[in-house]
Amino acid sequence: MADLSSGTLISIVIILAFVLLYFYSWAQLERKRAVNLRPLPGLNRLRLMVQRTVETGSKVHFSVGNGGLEGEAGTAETLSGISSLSSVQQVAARSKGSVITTTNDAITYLMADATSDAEYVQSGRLQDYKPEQTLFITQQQNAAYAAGLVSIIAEPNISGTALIGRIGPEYLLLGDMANRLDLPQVVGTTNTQAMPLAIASAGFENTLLGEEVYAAPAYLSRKPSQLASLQVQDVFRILIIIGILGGVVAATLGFNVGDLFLR
Amino acid sequence: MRKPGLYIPIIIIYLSAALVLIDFFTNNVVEGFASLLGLWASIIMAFAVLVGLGNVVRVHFGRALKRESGYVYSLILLLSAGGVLVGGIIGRVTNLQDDVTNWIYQYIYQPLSTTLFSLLAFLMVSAAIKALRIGTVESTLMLVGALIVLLGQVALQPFGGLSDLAHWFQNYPVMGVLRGVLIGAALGAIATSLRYILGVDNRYLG
Repeated sequence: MADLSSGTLISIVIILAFVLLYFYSWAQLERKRAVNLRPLPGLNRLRLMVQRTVETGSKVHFSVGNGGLEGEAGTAETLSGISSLSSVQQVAARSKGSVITTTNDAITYLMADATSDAEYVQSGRLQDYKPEQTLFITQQQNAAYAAGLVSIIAEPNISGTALIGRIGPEYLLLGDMANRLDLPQVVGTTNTQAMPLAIASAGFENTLLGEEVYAAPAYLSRKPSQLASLQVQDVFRILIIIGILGGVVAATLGFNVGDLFLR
Repeated sequence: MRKPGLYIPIIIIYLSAALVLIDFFTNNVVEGFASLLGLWASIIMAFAVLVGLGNVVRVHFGRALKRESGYVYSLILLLSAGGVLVGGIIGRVTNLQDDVTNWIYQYIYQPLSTTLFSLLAFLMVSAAIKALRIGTVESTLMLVGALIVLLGQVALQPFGGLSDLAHWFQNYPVMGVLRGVLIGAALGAIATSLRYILGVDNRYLG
């Protein structure tokens, strides 16, 4: 039968608390929609880029990163990229803009295509969505994917590029081409190796770092269901800070509390 | 919930997620369920790649037919994809097995990939110069930090004193910031995953 260690029990309690707090925050936000969010200029720029495509007749390139959905590291980033894509396509469908999406994984491609299609259906513009707007570039080949993105943003009708999801240092290939073509770029990554390179290439204001990648869908959609998860993250962040400070005090006084959290 | 038809896939998501979580947290309750689902995902992935290949062929064949700019590259891509596919089939039909595709991977794809990644060193310098030109506080701090760490690794005597500073820099401020970023990202990953598991983010279902 089930043999639960203290670490496992703590994990289960944390997940349950996360879920309960999430639904509570969601219910609260449904009643009172006003939420104060610190500004993320990159996401405002992304929204503007998409809205302006209708004036210029151009397209914005959006990548959900080079990650897949098979449970390897980076799945959550890819899911966040898909959620961000949903909001971006909603803006595009409502403002009659145009977005071209690229993927580096077959399942991610199917998910991105279905998400984009659903947003156009929801906005009553199904006839304006073409399957060629979502592209399958490669199957988990990072170098080939980066090369594919470089050639896509070099097309004359591309007016900006955004990447929210998993990406490594190879982002520089894309960023360098965007800089050469003077294209606005927005990038979000949790990869600590890629972060400084993304900042150097896209600029600090246009780069989403770490948790900002996961906050992007909430900022773009402003839906209570998304904003609630931001609030829960903040609550847990404060608890973690208190825990770290408490741990420092306990360790200074000679108590070993670290073993409690080991699985 | 937008459509009644969404209930079935969402119920499947709930059940799968619950069983995977039980498998992860317990022993001998639903042993091996996660690996079984992983196997199913691999099978689905194989068929999804075929759909993806269909997308590649449709997009690039369309470009070649319309003679859009760069259509020659589309033709090269289609020929390359076809060549690898035929090579793989020939290998399986004959006794060569994966020798043909392995040869293509080792002697064509791998060198191309390595060449592309080797460009990153030059692009990093180019990006650093660009950041320096912008002259914001953040980019200046980043460059000063990079210079200290870089010069701290140099064995030459004039920079020997920077070694301790570089180690201190990496062990305390950088490590602290990295852990902060990782904790924030981990919380974000949990929240995102739970939204999908709970079926809240379900736009991909149609």
